[in-house]
Amino acid sequence: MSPTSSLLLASALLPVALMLAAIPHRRAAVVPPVWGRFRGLSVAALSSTVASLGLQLAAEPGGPGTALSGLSATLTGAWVAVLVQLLGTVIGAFSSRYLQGEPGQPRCVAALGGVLAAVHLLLLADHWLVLIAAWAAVGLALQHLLCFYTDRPFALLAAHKKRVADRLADALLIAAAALAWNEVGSGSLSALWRHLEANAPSIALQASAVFLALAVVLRTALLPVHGWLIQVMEAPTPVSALLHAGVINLGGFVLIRFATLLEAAPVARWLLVGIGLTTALLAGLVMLTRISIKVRLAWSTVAQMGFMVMECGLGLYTLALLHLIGHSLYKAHAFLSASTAVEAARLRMMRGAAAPSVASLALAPLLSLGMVALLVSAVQVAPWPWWWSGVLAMAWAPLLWLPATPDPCAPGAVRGLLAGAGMVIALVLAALAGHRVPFGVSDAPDGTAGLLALVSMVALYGGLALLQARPAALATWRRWSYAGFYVDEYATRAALRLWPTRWTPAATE
Amino acid sequence: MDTLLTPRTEPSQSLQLSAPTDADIGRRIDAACAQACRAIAPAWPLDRAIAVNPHWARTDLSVRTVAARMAVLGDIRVFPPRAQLRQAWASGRIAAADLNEALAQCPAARLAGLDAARAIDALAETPALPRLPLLIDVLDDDPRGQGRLSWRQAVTHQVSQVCAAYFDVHQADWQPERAGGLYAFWRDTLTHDQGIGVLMGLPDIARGLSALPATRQDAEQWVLRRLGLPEEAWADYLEAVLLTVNGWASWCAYLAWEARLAGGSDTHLRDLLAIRLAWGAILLECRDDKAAQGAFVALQMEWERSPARLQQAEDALLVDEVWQLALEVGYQRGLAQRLRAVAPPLSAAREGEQAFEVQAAFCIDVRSEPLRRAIESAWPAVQTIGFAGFFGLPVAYTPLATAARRPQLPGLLAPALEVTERVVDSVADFGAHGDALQASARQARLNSFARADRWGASSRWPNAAFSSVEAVGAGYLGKLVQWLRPSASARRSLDGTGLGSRYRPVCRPVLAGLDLPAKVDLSARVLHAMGLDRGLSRLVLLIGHGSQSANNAQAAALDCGACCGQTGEVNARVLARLLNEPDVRAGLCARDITMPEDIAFAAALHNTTTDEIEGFDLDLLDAAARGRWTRLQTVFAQACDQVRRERAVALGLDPRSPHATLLDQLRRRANDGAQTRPEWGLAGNAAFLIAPRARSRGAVLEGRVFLHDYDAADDADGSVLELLMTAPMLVTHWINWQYHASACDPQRLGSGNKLLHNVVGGRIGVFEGNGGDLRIGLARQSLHDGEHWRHEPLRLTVVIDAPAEAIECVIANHAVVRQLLDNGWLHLWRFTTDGGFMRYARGRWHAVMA
Repeated sequence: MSPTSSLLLASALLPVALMLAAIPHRRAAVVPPVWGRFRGLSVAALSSTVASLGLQLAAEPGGPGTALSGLSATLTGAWVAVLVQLLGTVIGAFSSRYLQGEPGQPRCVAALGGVLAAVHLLLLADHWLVLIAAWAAVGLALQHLLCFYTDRPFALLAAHKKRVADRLADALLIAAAALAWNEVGSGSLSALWRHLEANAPSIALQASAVFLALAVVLRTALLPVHGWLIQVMEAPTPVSALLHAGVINLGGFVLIRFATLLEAAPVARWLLVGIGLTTALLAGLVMLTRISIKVRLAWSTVAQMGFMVMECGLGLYTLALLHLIGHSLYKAHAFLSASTAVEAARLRMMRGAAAPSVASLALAPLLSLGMVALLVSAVQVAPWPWWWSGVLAMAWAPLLWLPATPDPCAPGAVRGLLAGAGMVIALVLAALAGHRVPFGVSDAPDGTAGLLALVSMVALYGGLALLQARPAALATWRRWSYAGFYVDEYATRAALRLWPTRWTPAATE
Repeated sequence: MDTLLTPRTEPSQSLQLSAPTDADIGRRIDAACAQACRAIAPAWPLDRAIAVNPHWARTDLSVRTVAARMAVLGDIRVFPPRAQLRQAWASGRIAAADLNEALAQCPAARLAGLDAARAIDALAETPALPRLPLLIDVLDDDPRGQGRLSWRQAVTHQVSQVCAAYFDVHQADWQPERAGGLYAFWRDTLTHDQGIGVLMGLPDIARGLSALPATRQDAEQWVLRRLGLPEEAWADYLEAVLLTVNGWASWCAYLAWEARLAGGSDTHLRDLLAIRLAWGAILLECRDDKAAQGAFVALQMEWERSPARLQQAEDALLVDEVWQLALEVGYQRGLAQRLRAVAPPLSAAREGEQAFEVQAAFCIDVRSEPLRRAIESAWPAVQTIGFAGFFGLPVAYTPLATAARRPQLPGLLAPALEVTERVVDSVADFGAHGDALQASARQARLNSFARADRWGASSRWPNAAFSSVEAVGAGYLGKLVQWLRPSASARRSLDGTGLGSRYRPVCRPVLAGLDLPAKVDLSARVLHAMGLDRGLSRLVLLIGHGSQSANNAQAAALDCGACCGQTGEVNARVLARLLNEPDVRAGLCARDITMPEDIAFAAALHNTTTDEIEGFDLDLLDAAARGRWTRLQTVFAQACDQVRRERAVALGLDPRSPHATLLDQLRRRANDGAQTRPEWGLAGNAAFLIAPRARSRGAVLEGRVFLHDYDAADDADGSVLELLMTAPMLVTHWINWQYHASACDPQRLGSGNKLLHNVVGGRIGVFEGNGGDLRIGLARQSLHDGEHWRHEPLRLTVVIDAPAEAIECVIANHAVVRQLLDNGWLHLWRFTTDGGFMRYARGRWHAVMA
């Protein structure tokens, strides 16, 4: 082992140890010192992850990877480790003040430390067993946070549904591992990559990829197993923040990690595109109908995870990773500041609402497409396939909408368009800049699936435009969306039949 | 105003006729529904969260009767839990003398032969007060919720979700069609619901839905005719039904309240009642005939015994009432001692004769008391005055270039005047000279709003949000890191958003559309009510109050109740401007209200979280007045520091810290979005003094007492006293009972755990977690520090310095006041001339033992 690679591995492994050390030993631990200790150790762990990332960036690309059996520090993992530890540090600091006066704080610190340690281990996994064990450990530690209040039936139900999904995912992963192990002759992931480079993918490996994809779907709370993620509002706000920002997106990391396998397994990729896209579209619509802030944020996460998984299926790993990071930071902040919803409503009342004009609804996507295409063409090496520019154009078209009946004092159409155009340009430039960041992944876009994604996003834009212009025409859709398409009701019943449990607390109302 | 304040008409005598015709029964059912709906008190939205007594509409009954009804009809607790009382007894907070005094004061206790020994024994018991069942309870084959939610919970959840969808206008971007009204909306939602049967364990719910009554009236009639309950129990049954969705019922009652203030009416509450009743019809159809028959029999049997059950509960709660009283007697003893200690000698000169350098009018809010005391001790030449924090201006305020009009006055009243905003660089700009400025300021704000709206689209719509997090999600890094250490920045009003640094400091609220005589009238009225129509000093401060907290859905509950959950800033600034207008002053002079030639009125705000005083529009004052303000700053600095030190311990801070450190800590706490207890608000409130300041000056009242200045000598006709006893006294009673109720039943009358709060509809209220009923009242964190209750549930003790006859006159003329007193919702005392007190009880005055 070279000195650099040992240093690399050490700096990547240190956070695991530090977070384990943050777990208070005695149940009756005194509260403030427990948090203080957590804070100190998590800042140390954060420094360690930053150092590890620095070392990775400084190291030769494709340099020494594996240094210890079953573990491997990667550049991608280093990025995610910094992200997760940052979230853990912030959420820990938040919780130490937010939970003041609550019983069960030491338990919370322990679970937080446990989750973070397990995540760091997962990020280093280079062996099926490490992967399976670490991912299961994340779920187990999380159970304590989900059930922070053991007297709340919906918290218990959500935790149970999560448990059911986790065990199914475990089974799928074990199956995937068994198939691959048998084929490759080793449980090592590096060995798997080497095997795939040398050999054509067998049916067994394709099946392994499908199982893996399904396990990710289960762990990432895509439809139809999203229910528990929506219902974790029954735990304190920082738990939601941690879950929605730092844990749920690990599926994306695993998919990126398994890019080599996925590229050899078209069925698995189509599965990811199909489920991811469906989730993104449906959950996106449901999100628009939510009447409480936290539930809206939760549906937004489901939709965003669908989109990220779809990107993985499409082979757009850079985008998926950008998504993973950007969404985490955004969603953690959004959850922690969920109670500013009242201020936001006050500001909305001050600003008033203006419906966009039909003409601008129709023309905005064209204008947006023009701008995206122009900016992308100015870059020498296209950062993404052409159809993705179409997806972006649909995404940012709403920034170019103009009010149907403008306030005479309000800025005119030209000023509005210029402001919107400026924002679209800034967003495209930011997206281009994001692609310059060395993440250590290489994209493998799938054109046919990409077209499907583009068509779907055009359809989604069409739906939104119709929603603006003729909301009454979509009354039935709204009803279904408001009901979450009834998916969770049936999924819950299935989960309870598969694994019955008592989730209502005894003898209370 | 009286119609608003009269809770409800006499109970159901009109319901007891014989040989009813069909139309007659219909009318009586209608009357019973109306009566049940009248029992629900309103709950204001989060952005106007004023405190309300949740039993307000039941104050025509005695506290103990209401406690019994709440227990039997809704499993709601009104008196403090016995465990808490036990602790108060064990710790000596309630002394044996207090208990004896309480027993002596309670005639029912004497009648029942309750003595101290039995009362003490009862503390160890928990009275069994089982709730009367509703139709959905007796139909439920799994009421304990073995494998699913009980139907009671499931129905509440479903109704709550539908109400949220119907009433929300600010959260969902995709709004439903709701033209048919609440009942039709619910019916439509339910008949199209494909999942509810699965959730409730009712695979054949479709059969039940076919029985769904078509209209609200049908639902009401159908259920009451079918149930076969004794007619006397109808209204009680319906009230119990409403209590299962008490949060939304309170929201509907708020809509009705607002409609009534505006001269209209609102029927959402009746719709809600009908929805809840119709659920019974659906579930009935889902069960077979035998089960249905059994349910009817069970229900009828239970409700035939309801009068006996209510009486039983009332008897059982006698002990609780005595202990509640004992808790209050203990507090009152201390209060009386403190007030006696500072009692002015009989010959003391009236305070008005003394010349003061500065006069400062504060809100009556309990948090003003420590600050007033500190300022008076820092510089005795300051006269402080307690007055309702809206300063008598019945206004609604609309920020510049917006349509976001909001009331800035007590919830009991409807706004009568409009306040708009004007950009004013110098006094001349108040006239036509400043008109040009207005257009550019409006333009600047609208531009800023349009930009914010446009950028908002990038996270609002799903496809935009997908790609935006990839592009700019990393930008949230900065915001996220801010959670690590909150800033120490000063309070910043939301109303200035979008004005930019050019206009923000010079945008000033002004009264709109009032001619000079009306302005003079208003000014004269307000000055008289404040006792400032003579003896004015050269600097008069109008000090409103406001809190400072971040990421706090219930922030408005910490602001000024008299300003409808807003800060007092707008009212103080408008009044100061009004009284500084030369024409108005001339008009006042003409009415014999004399004031010094160089007088200046200045508006300020007491930040109750950090105890800082912020002045407004000081740039418009002349140099001499500004000089006086500046000289006052050292007094404020010293006084505010003293108050911060007094408050520090309760907030877990070190009161020995240096001045700057303590202020810094409080400011960071105020800006800390993770802080669930930025300040204690009005926790601890226990008494209301309506008296000259001389009666309490120097007494340490620990921020537990509302103080309103009142001098009976200036109120020959008793009109000011009448106003005080029918407006501020009711407001303080509302506040007092909101804290009381939230502390005694944090689950049903408080909003539960703040860590789980989930804002509904942007402003309507909160859910605790995913759903369940809308929550009303205060969060547990607002009253409890994790180890101890910070609010002791005491009924307000009102102490008035006025002749007995004047007080009795108001009581005789106002049914609302009479009810509150006779039914034990508050205590009334008066000062006697010898520095002692008399206690009012059932029309007589009793001496208060020293």
